[in-house]
Amino acid sequence: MRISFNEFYQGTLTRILTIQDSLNEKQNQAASGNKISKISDDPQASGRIINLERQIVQLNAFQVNVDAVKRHLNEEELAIKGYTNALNRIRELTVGIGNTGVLSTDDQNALLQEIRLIKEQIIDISNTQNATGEFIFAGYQVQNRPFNADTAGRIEFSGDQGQRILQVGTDTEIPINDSGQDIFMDIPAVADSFETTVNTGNTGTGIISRGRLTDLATWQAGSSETYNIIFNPLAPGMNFDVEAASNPGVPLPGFDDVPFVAGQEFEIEGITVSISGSPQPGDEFTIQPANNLDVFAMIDNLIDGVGSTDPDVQAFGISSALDNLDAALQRGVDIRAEIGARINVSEVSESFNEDIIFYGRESIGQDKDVDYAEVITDIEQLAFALEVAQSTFTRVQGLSIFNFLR
Amino acid sequence: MTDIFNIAATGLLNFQRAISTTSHNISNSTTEGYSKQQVVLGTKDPDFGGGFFLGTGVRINDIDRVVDDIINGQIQTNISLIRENQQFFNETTKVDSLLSDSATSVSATMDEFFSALQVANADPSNVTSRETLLRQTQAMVDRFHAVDRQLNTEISITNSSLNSFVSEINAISESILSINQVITSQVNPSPDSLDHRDRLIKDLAEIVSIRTLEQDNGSVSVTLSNGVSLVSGMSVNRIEAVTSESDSRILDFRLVNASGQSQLLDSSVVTGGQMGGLIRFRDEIIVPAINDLGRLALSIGDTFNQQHRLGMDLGDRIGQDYFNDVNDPNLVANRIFADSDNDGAATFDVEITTVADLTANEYVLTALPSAGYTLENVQTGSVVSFGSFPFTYDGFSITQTGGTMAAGDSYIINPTNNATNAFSAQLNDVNSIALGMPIRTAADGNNAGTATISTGEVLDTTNASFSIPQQLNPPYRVEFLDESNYRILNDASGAVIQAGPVAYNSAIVNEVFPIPAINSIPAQTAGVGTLTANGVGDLIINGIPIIAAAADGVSPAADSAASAIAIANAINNTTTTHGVTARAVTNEVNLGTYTPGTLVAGEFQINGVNIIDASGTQTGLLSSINASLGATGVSAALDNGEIVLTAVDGRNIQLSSAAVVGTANFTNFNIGIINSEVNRAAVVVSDDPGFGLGNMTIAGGNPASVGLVAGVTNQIDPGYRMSISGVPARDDVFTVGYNNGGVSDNRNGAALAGIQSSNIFNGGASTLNGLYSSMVISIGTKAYQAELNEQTANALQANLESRREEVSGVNLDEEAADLLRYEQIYQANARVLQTADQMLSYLFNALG
Repeated sequence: MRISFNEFYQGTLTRILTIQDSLNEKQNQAASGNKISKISDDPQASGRIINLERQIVQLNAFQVNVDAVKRHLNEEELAIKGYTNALNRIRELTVGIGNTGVLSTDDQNALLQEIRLIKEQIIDISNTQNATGEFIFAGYQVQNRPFNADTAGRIEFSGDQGQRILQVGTDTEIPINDSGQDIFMDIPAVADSFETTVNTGNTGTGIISRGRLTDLATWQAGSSETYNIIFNPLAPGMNFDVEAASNPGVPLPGFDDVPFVAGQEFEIEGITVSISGSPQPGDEFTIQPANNLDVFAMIDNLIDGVGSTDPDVQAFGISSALDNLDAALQRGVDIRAEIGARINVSEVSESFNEDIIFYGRESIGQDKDVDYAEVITDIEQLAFALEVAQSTFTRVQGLSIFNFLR
Repeated sequence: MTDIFNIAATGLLNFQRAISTTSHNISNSTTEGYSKQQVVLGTKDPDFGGGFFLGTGVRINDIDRVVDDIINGQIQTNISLIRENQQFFNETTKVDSLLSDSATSVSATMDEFFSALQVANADPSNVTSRETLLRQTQAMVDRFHAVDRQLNTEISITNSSLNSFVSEINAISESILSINQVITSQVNPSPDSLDHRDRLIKDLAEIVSIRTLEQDNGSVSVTLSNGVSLVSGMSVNRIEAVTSESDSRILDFRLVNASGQSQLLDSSVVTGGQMGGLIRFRDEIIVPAINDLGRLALSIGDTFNQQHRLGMDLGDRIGQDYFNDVNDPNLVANRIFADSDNDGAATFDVEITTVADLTANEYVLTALPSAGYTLENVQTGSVVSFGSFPFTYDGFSITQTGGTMAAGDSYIINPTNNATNAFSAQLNDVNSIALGMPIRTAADGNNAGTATISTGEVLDTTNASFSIPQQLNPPYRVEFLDESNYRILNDASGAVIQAGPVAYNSAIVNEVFPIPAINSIPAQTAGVGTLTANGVGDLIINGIPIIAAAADGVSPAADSAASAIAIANAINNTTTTHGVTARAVTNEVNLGTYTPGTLVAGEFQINGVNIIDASGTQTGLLSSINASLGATGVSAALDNGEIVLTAVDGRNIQLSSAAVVGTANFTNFNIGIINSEVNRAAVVVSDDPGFGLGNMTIAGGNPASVGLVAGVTNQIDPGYRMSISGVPARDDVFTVGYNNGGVSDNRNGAALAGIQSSNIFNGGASTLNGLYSSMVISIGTKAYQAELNEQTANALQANLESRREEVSGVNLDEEAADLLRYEQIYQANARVLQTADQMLSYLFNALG
């Protein structure tokens, strides 16, 4: 084969340059620690890396959520713990009253005073605010104080049943709050409980008192009945009828066209109520059996019962309060257990996410990270090859006939 | 004696020339494209004298280039391949890094945007995290713009490179032409001119792929790879770069001949070389990347907007657009471009309808010669025909806004055009971020049952339910009358909306209130009707007249009335967009009590097929019927001892008999067959309750003729859904109302965050990030392939170059040997001259 002068130099030069190029690439790899600096270096591995990195970013967002979940739930748990402690204290006091049998008026008053204070404490707890000032038991309406007393002394819940849910794993979502309605309001009450309500659609501002039991036997005899207090739409002055819901249009004896006096108490079938404010003709108020009571009403009923002079009513007040308090406590304990379970789940998700992130990083590393032993060996080999090429070039290029033409 | 002088002189002269050729070789040993020249010696013509020929010395026949034209041709082809792939790879790598580097990638800002959304969701009422979200939104939008700008800059850079390549091509063509002129004017063209021309051809091949053909007269004609001529004979065609008609950003090329006439070069003509690589880079990388990015911007913008509009913000308002409206009037008209050769002047709007179905492709809309239009996907080549506008396809709709389209007119549609540039964040008030949902559901505190109500789902906030700000109109209240019945009231006024009792079937799932009252939905069965083929106005469903064909092709036709299949088809063809569907159901035909007896041809036909039975038994007759009717879609079975006919697809069943009932020939059945009787099938019409505003209105002059009851299905879609499940008790109450003050609600925020991982894009095949990463990976893969191609071509090139050098290169040792040889011969010739001189002096001395 004929080797031209050009080919001799150009070919050798090209080989040297090729080695230098490879050497440069390996040096870059060694310096950066990355095998892949752009996607075209290895499209397949790059595809894997992009997907894994995406997964890791998402999991990291979940990890941030886990922190938020734990923060919120721990706050709630503390509040509920305070709440169950308060309930336990009331329960102890109530049991004490029951056991004593006869209480002096002073003792009775002292006990009632403590129970009232604990009730205030529970109201405070139900209006717990977190570090950012949110009312944690208000559902979605966290900027409004959810538990407030109305003019009749009834504690009303103005929040809602909204639950905020955070995602802590690909398929795991955790509620981070519980509505005050579930915790404090809808507690199953003992039989023969009642509630008074203002009908939706009333046009006046009349409000009915909470009502208190004043004649146990009468109430128990008819306690499955609902009684409607109806302001006469046609009668000229303000007066009202009281009807049993099962017998509409027929006023109860003595309750036909009763003249209305704001704040005046009257007893309907064992329950004493009063209506204050300004009801309008056609407005309705209801006394009805209650399946559920709120914890505040339960405590109020206890206070009413203990303060009653009727021994039957007093005994019923104490015994029903014990059952009611047990139900409220049970609800508190249930919620605490659920909070604990949610914290557990979020922690399980957290460590699961961590594992996936770890393995994701590891497999990205396998695709992307340089194997130093390999790269250094390659560099050694290439450097050696370069030296050889350079030295042979200088040796061989002197071999020309012209060198011998003297 | 003078002969000897002359012979020596030829030797001296010619070897002097040979030495000068050798020294020419030596001095050009590193000249690029130089081919070794060699002197071809020959004997001079001999003299005839004295009866014999006497030699007269040496002469130079030719000074040749040593070349192998085949290798040169291969080099020329291969260099185009190398330059193309080199150019493509170098350009693509820049974009590859731009799109994949986390410092410049759109994907990274999308991640940060969604992470900020997650943080905001954890504390929806926290203004700081909302501010962060808005900042990340702007950062993401800015990144989209930056990348888009960079990609568009690449197009301008590409354009200026293409312009300079075009000038180079024209200059080289001119040079080749002038060398052609020199060469054809000479008998023996100089080897150096030939080398020069070869070098020019190679230079040209580096720019664009060409073919060359050497003519008999020594000139070379040059064409582009598909035969378009650049240099032919004694003329040159110039190339000109012009702005493309279909896309003002890019350049097309025209061929201009010597007399100034020009023609557009198809994009497939200019291939190979640096220019081909650049065009491929532009068409395969940049333009698709811009379109892909546009689609991503549309996808994220529209999907986010749609969900955001279903939400409620911190001020209890329904969510507004979060990003710009993808169907802004400024955008819709700029997605379609008329061809300059169009005769008509129709104008169109292109709206994005379903962003998830959108491709990043371009489409060509063409008016067919007679009637109708076609839409072709330029990238996939798939074509769809349609009859009229508006037409919806691949997630966009084309609406004609003016003018008329002449036959043959065409338009280019790019649904993603300008999308990234227009992408912008619309919200700047943190309070306007709609993380909450406008409804909230509640179970009453006094409920005794265990039923629960779901938190609900909002589908449409333009619904009348949300027509009054910060109110649900009306708020609903579901009251259970007992554990299996309920009624529905207006929760604000107490007015009864639906008295019921409505049956509660263990769960109310995604209920639409109130329950339809008039027509029985989901299915309404129509009876036998006389909806005739031209019975316009007989039946109108949701305002659309149903016109059924008289025949359906499978049912036996007995009268002019439309068959059930034809009516169902007519309904399905016209009202499916309203969620109304219909199907035909065959009414079974009972043949009645069987009396044993045989049947011969002509006595009894079902749907025109003769039933023949020689067995005289009922089971024999049954199998005869099934054997004969297989092809007609009708089958027979025994039911309670009687033969019953049915058909699977809802076709009519026709019984006919030549005989009159009761005659001796036809006594097998006790049914009264009158010569020919069609038992019509029924039509069942149903309305999908989940389908938008699912009202179904049945009207028309005679809907009763097909057994449908005129009226409106009293079904109201409130624009949201909720479910009640579990066991309710009497007097249990569930309500749904407006979510006033629900500042800590993150339900809509969670739905917004869900967009990141929802696999709905690209026709349900991809997530948002998937759209981006598949684009980046496809660019990386193309760059990788180009690099491989370049390496392969480089290896081949090295081989070809070394073969060329092997043939045409200058070897200095060889030249040294030649130099010594020619010097010796020159010396010897000088010696001859000396000898001749001495011979002459001997002679003179002898004479003297």
